[in-house]
Amino acid sequence: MFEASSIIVGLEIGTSKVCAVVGEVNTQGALNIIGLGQSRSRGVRKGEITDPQTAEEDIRHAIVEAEQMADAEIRNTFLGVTGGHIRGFNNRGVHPVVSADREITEEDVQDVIKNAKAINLPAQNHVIHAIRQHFLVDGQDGITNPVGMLGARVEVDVHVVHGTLNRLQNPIRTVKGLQLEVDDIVFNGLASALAILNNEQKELGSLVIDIGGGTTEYVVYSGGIIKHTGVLAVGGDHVSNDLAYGLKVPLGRAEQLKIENGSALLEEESKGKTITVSSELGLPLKVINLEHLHRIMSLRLEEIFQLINQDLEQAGVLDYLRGGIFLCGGGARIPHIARLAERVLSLPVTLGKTNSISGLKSALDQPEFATAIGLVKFGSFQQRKRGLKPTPTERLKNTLGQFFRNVKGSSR
Amino acid sequence: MNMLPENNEPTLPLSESALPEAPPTPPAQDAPQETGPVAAGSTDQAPPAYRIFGIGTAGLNLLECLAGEGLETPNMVAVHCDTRALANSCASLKVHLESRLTRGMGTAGDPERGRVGAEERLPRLKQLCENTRLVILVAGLGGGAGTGIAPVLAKVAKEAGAHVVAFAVLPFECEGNLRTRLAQAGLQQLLGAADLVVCHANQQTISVMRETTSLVDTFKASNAMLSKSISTAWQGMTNETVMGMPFADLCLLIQQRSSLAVFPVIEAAGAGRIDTVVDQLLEHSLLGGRGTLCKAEAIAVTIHSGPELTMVEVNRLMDRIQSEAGGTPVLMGACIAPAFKDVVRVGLLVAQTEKVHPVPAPSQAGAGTASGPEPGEPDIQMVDRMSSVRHPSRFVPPPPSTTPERIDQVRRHRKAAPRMRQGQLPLEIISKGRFEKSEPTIHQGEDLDIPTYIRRHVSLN
Repeated sequence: MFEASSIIVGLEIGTSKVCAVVGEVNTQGALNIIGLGQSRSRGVRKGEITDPQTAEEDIRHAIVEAEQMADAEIRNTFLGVTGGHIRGFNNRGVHPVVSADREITEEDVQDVIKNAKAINLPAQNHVIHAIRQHFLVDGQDGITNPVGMLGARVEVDVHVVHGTLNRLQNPIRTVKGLQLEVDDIVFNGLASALAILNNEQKELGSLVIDIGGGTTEYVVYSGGIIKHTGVLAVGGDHVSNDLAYGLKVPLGRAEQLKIENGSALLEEESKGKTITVSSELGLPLKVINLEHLHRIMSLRLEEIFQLINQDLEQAGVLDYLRGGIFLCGGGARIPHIARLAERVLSLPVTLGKTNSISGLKSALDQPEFATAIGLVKFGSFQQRKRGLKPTPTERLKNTLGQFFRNVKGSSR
Repeated sequence: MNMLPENNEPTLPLSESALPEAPPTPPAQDAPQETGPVAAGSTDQAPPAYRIFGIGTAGLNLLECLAGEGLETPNMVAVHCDTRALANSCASLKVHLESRLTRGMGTAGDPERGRVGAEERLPRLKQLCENTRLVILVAGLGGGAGTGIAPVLAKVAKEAGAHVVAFAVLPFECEGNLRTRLAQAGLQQLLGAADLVVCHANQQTISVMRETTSLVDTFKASNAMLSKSISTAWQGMTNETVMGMPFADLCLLIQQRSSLAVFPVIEAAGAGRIDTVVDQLLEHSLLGGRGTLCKAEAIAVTIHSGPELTMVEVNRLMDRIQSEAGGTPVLMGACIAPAFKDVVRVGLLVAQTEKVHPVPAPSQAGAGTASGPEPGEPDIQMVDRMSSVRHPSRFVPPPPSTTPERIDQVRRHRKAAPRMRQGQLPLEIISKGRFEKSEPTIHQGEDLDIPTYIRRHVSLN
């Protein structure tokens, strides 16, 4: 009966697919993936639900598949959210140390964090994450725990990820409509970074770019903390749409061409080459210039990286990325995309691997699943945090055990 | 078929009565190049400041009218393909356009014949236009000679350095839709060739005719109306302007707006003459009823009067026209000439939006007059041929016309929603395909949903 709550489910409602991943924390405290369900997504555009009914149907399919595979009943989920409305910024909280000996106490730390999280945002905005960064004591940077230090003033930076409340509510409502609980909402980019980066990479400074169907999320880790997050409401769908428009083919055909013949770089050998699109019966329908196909794709993807580059430059985090860039999401499958990203961002680029988690290895080591796996990982962290405090059941058990021991002892 | 189209043009009894007097003469065929000794002799004289070319039957008839109005005949040139009509013209210069196609007969209603004839005599026509400041062309469109020759002549005159004003008579609608179509095609060509085309649509004069007016009288009245316009233009060119701008300048300013214009002229005398003139002008059939002035591109008012014209009169006249014109730019010029003793003559040169008048549907061709050819093959051929020789237009097509209902609608809408809102012009031709209905992704003013290669103007060849 209690086993159901020990599983952690990550649910990502993406633009191209809905993906549910079921994880389990084993006795050693390690996370193990035991189930995966996915379904084509139809009711989502640019990362946000536009057709709740269809989306609900797709979510149900994915959940059912995951339940069958994990052989468990899913009740709670960690829901991934994204969309062009989501923004990230850093906020600083200040707290003067008032005690006579100027020693920073636990309360001072709690107060400064509270101050940092008190953010002035418009009423319609909702804070998704407020992640603590480093403390500053009297202007000295890089302190992870100031308790016990001496100082007159303690400051802390938090990275705040926020979005429009109504637009965040939409996926939650849809999931709740399926009689599932939403434990927490997580920004998709953050989840992807969690899945892909190990502690060393977080420390060195890394950028994770998740090129999804409708959106592209990016997260910068440096010094072990999140420095910067961002969303571009541009993704693989845009590539397909550009191709459909430029090559004058239907959208479905454009999608197929992108997957089968796509390339992120315009190469010499593709120049002058053509491919013949044929119908289901094998009859030739249309001849397509490969150079045009690659040029259209290349320009769009290059633009995505350029926009990210601009944003990172503005935020001043480009110089912290010693760990390099990691690509994930369906877009990471496009041939030569790493080379293109390297050229635009002039940093070493690798495709992200979700190897920090055990279980279902071959099925999971796909760039598309990074977000969903990251959601499970986020869930496991949350649970561990919660696990530190005894749950009411555990408390009852302890009390009863104590009682019975006492009864036993007194009867002797 | 041979004669009918020409006869349908504004015709004076004079030319008709002249027909039996002048049978087709073989000597004219012997000396086809120079028609008459007068033409050869006059080329030696210094060329005049202006010339009036009467083209085709209608043009020749109008020259007679103008001679009656007092224009000097030495400045008139009659251009026609028909020897008999030429022989009876009062014009001192006559150019007979003869080609293999016409064989001394008329053009038989085929503009192509007129055009070929004119092109064969290009050097002669050019010579007549040289050193002339102003060339006035008078032609009836819809027939063979006027429609075919006028655009060629206009082009030649312009190349020779003259300012070309063409007075074009459009046929009655009852003359058949083929004629209307030929006239419209000819008008388009003429618009491309001449500086200013003053249009006189016969159909619009029909409303002022009484039921008892005979056919001949109708043409007479129409001719009188147009000849008054032409003579006013000529008076404006020759008389000294005492107020406002000279007529030549008015023409120039008008043609900057549009090369298509109408020019109704009214004169009146006696007490209250200004009000009479303005009332009649505003109701003038050529303008197409009251309230059209505010829709015109520009208006030039030309006033001719004797020395008794007062400032108060001019003021009253301009006041009334200004108030009628609304936001349309209005220009004026006033001439004083002793010939206009006690008479005030006011002309409104109104620039109109250039547009091809709707041509009656060919399905009604059966109801047309017997003069038109059978609908179908020959008809289409003629129109096609015209379009192939059409002079490359130097005019930008006019903006799409807005119906009065639409203007009303827009005005009402504006009143209802006084708050300014940033709208989006429906100019987008690039389809956003899949993202048509979703919220646009705007990044620094750029819509990222539009393909990158289009925004960066990368061409896919």
